[in-house]
Amino acid sequence: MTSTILTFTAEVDPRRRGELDQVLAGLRESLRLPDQPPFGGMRSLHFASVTVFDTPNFPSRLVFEHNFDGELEPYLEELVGAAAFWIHRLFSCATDYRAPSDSSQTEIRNYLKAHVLRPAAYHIGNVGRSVTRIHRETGLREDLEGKIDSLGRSERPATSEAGYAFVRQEMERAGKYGWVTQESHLRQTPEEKSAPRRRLWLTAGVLLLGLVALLFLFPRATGGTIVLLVVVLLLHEALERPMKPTELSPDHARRLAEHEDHLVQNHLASMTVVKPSPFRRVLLRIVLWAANLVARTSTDGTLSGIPSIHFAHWVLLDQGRRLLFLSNFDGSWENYLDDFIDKASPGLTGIWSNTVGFPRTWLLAAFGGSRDGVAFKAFARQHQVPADVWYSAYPTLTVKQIDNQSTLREGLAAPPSGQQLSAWLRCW
Amino acid sequence: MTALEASDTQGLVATSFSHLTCAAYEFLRVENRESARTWLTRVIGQVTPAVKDDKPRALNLALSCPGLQAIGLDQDTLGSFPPAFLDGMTSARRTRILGDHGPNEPGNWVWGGPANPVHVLLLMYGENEAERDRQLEEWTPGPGAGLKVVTTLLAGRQPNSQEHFGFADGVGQPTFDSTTKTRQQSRTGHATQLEPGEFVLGYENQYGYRSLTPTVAAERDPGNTLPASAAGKERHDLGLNGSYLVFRQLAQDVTTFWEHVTQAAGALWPNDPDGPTRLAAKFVGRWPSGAPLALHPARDPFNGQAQPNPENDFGYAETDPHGHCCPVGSHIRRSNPRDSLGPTPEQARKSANRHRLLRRGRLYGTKSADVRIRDGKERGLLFICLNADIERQFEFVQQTWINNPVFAGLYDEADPLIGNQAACSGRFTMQADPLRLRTPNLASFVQVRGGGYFFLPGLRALSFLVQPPLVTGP
Repeated sequence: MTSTILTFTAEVDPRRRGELDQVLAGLRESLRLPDQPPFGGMRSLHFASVTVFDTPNFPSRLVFEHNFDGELEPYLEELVGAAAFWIHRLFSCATDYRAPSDSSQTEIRNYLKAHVLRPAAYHIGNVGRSVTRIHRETGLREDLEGKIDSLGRSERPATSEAGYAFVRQEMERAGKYGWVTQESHLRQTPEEKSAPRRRLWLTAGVLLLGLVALLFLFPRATGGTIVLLVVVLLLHEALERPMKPTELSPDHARRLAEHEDHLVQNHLASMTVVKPSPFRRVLLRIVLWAANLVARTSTDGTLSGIPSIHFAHWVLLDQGRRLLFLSNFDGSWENYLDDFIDKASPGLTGIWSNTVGFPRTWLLAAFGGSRDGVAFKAFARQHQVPADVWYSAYPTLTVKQIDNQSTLREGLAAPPSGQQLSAWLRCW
Repeated sequence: MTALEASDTQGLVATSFSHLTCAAYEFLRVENRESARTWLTRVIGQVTPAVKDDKPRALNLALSCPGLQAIGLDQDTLGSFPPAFLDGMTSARRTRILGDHGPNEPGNWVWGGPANPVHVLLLMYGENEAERDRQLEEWTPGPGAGLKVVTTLLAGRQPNSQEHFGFADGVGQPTFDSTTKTRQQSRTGHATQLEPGEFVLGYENQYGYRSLTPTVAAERDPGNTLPASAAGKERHDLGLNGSYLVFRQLAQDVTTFWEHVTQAAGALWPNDPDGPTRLAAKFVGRWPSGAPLALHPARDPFNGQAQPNPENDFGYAETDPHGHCCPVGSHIRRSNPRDSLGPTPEQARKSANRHRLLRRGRLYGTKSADVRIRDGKERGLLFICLNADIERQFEFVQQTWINNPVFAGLYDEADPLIGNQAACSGRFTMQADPLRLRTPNLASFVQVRGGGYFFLPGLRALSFLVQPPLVTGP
């Protein structure tokens, strides 16, 4: 099952900004109870959020984020069926909304379809896992963990084979886990797993060949162009003004912090303004395109070594003048940002150095940028906006745990052997 | 690596004064701004710098955020301090980060809570009880001093380096250049050498940059008591050679700990006389002697005798990647995961070393004569640590490692030794071959009794802070 990441966005009617806040408060209230409408009963929704961005010099924007299983059409059917009441009230505050009532589901669906923004680059932590599968595998693991816990001292298996046999036997005895072996247990088909990597190498190869050919055919023109581009980049980097860490508004930082650390998971929404020069705007599109190619090859739950991101995406809006980033991640904001700094500096510097206020960089991502932890965190905080509404279908699970549970289930479906058996037993 | 400006740095940054065996921590509240400043001016003349001496006593001084306000520091300067320090340990957000819920709530604290805030912390050390008490007498403000004592905590002679549960403590201590400890530890190969900027403001940190430092508008410092700030000449540097000091009074319930461990070990390994010690060691990650389980999985190589230089030169990635020796959720693996959190051992260690603390704590209360008997006396740890960035260091360790219910892929567990078990499943998993063992229904063995965030200024900064005519209130 493939997942889809997108947002529905609309411009907020300034006269209805106050009303929008009330609607958001109502929706937030109705989400306090788990498993309740509008989102709680939805089969294919992983994460959802609503954030309003009131950036100066831009119209207020309502951003409705969705990470879901399958394609847009069937999902819209499910979403509007479950949440028409709230969607109608939310988008009634937009400038161009026309649906007469919350029972006009076709109009609502058409409106949403016309307001879809697809990501320029995205990452999925637990590729190939549907909401249903995640819930099922959680139940399976918890159930069998209990069986292992109840083993007395003399009953504890002495060998790996005996350990496996015990777990397997308990699963069969429970009589309700037919799906473990009957349904496909693979996260991705071998083809799904290898195709992105092939595409990445192929693209890199073609680009490299093209460059070599150009250098060979027109050595002076190509060399000159490269030198010129580097000089233009260096000039930009020298003249642009980075934000000082002391410019971060303490009140803003405090307001954000109030929204964090309530759960195992957290949400991050950030809106940055792309640097006004055409050079930067083109460069950002190229970097995002490359980042997306690389992110597609991630099949082990990590993005540049960061193991805690469920879903993340970048999207350009306002004709490429602003960059929106939305992420659903595990752990604290500090930990997330430190992972960005320690593990993914080049990638994220390559992206955000094209936006206003980013810590000074040299040669796109080669030097500086997010390596200055203090300056980078201040920049990140300053452009972050707390989500007004946030929903997770499995708020107590981390990416790592979900992967672990899938490994357990896959091992029950297809018995591992040798080294893999020991590794499998360690997952309990 | 820049050498520390020792004469401008308070002694605690460089040493834990372990040769001065007795300590007293006095918490004061400012009642009258002007007289308090006069009194403090007298005290700071006696503050011990980080310069080696053979005096029988030492005195250091730190201030909380309400303390800086109380002696009249202006809003503009205060605003340049980091949010964690400004919030203090008891704000709703900090309480959430630190996991101070239930019995650990600041409302229940005996000091530092909303009902009993503290402003000034005097740290006094003496070579014996008499010397310490002389200092205590000298520096307890009398009537008219403008300060009132909120509480005084005494830390007596430490019989050995084992904390009250019976385990060698303070082993995995990082060091930075120019401290005596560095020389000592590098001889034994035990040092984790870090940049001074991790612990002292104004120096390069593990990122190769300087941590944010509080600054003063130049016109508030016309006498140039403070050096110019890196931020520009219109600001002067109040933080240089200073540090942030975190204080937590942690009461340890020794009897409950050993009762629980004995009973739980009986269920896991019936009729094994070594069971309780083994289970307790699994909680801690070291044997009572300080020997790490990662290197000595089977038994305590020193038979429980505390070692002067316990083994600290190890990692997990190679010797114990899966926690079969030292459980993944054990106390020392949570409080410093070393090279174990991936993606590669090198990267993991680099990341972990950006969240280290310089521990300066001491035990309080007497050792239990018999851990099985509830003697009704309070005992525990006066946890003190220094760091340059409270959010990135102390709070990170507490939130992302110690209290994290999903630490390293575990399911809903907390630190077995100091975690709040009511906030999670109360289970503890011990990875084993072929299947893990698990012990349920852990109790909380440690309770927070008080705490606070303090600024431990450099000596120039101290004298600036108490200068009466130049610091005016808002």
